[in-house]
Amino acid sequence: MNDIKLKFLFQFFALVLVQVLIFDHVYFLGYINPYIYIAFIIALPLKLNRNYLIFLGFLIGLCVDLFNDTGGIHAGSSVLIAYLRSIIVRLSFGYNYDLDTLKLRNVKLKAQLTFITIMVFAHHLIMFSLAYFSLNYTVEILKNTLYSGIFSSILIFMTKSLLKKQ
Amino acid sequence: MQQVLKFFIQNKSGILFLVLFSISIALTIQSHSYHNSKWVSSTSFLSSFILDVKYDITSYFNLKVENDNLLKQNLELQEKIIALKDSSNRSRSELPSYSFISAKIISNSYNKKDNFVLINKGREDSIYKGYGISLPNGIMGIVVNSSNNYSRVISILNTNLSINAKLKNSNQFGSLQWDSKFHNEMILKDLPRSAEFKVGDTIVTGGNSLIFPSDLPIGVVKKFDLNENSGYFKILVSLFADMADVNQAYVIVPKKIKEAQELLEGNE
Repeated sequence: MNDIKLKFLFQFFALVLVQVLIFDHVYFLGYINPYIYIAFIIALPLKLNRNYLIFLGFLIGLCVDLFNDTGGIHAGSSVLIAYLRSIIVRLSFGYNYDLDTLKLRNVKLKAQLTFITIMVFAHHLIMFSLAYFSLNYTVEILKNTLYSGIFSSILIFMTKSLLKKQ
Repeated sequence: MQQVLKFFIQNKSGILFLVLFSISIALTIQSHSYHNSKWVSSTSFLSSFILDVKYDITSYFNLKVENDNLLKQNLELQEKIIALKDSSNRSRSELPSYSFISAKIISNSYNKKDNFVLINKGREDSIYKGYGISLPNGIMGIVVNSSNNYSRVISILNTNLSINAKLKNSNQFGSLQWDSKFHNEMILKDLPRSAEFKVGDTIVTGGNSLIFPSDLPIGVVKKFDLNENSGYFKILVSLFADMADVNQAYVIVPKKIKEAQELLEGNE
């Protein structure tokens, strides 16, 4: 149990650092920024207590905010997807699974992809809405959500499948 | 009472979510009014330390470019010195009211709606809130808060900031703002219709603020149109400085700011 906790602690810090030191400076095609730190919320065990999940989601978002000077936009959006995760799991995996024994990597690839994509897009939509914080920028919000969302989903999916093999 | 308690216990995660989400919203709203000193900011000890280490490592990668820029700048300064020598027989009636401190930019953003910059000088170098930051070929922003060794700067690429600017060789001024579109373009608003200029004219800082000295170059006129109803020009300015690639900045220390502020407050 302690090993697992340590593993998640390591993941937490590694993802925050990778996000703020590398991916915040990646501007794909000029302005598309990937946000891969939410892989942490996606990868936390499905049977984890919901309260812990929400709190950890808030914490990792706040850490990213701290480096980016963005107030609470990452904290807000990641706490939201942490709260909605169990609903999104049901949406993408169906009701046939028992959450206590289910592991993400045992699910079909298509369902995994659906799950990751919904999580990423929900996060990005809320994050960009909070960042622009005005209806005058609706087009920019939707455009950024779409482009960054596609980019982040691909990156997270690739990282997951790369790490699985080892 | 028991029912209320029961309700709280049953909806524990929902309430936790609501509390944390409202905290995030509050922090976000707070960050949109940059006058407040913030709780979550990159001047905090740990994050500024990590960003500083990152700067130490990555700054080696563009040493060559940086050297070239410094050489170019040296050359320009040399030319200015020569020009000054020519006009040195003109007597100077007043001492310079600004001095400059050089600083390194250790974190910079330019593609968000409201961008901030972190520099590696702070209160110990006597840099305080409200000081302007200039670049070798433009302006960078204004210090919003400073810790002992770092300062957070609101970038000119921030929709909350507007800067007093004018046309070179004229005294008609407007306010320079960013429209959050491109990091090399800004908009000069409220320039009266009587102003005369053409595409390619230089825009400089106006003298109407205590933060920036007047006549610092900012950019050139790229496009303009006149609003017939209000009678003001709206000018698209393309900046001299490449805001995406900046390393070195100068903090402008206004020497007479206290005196001027006292006078301003006394008048009110």
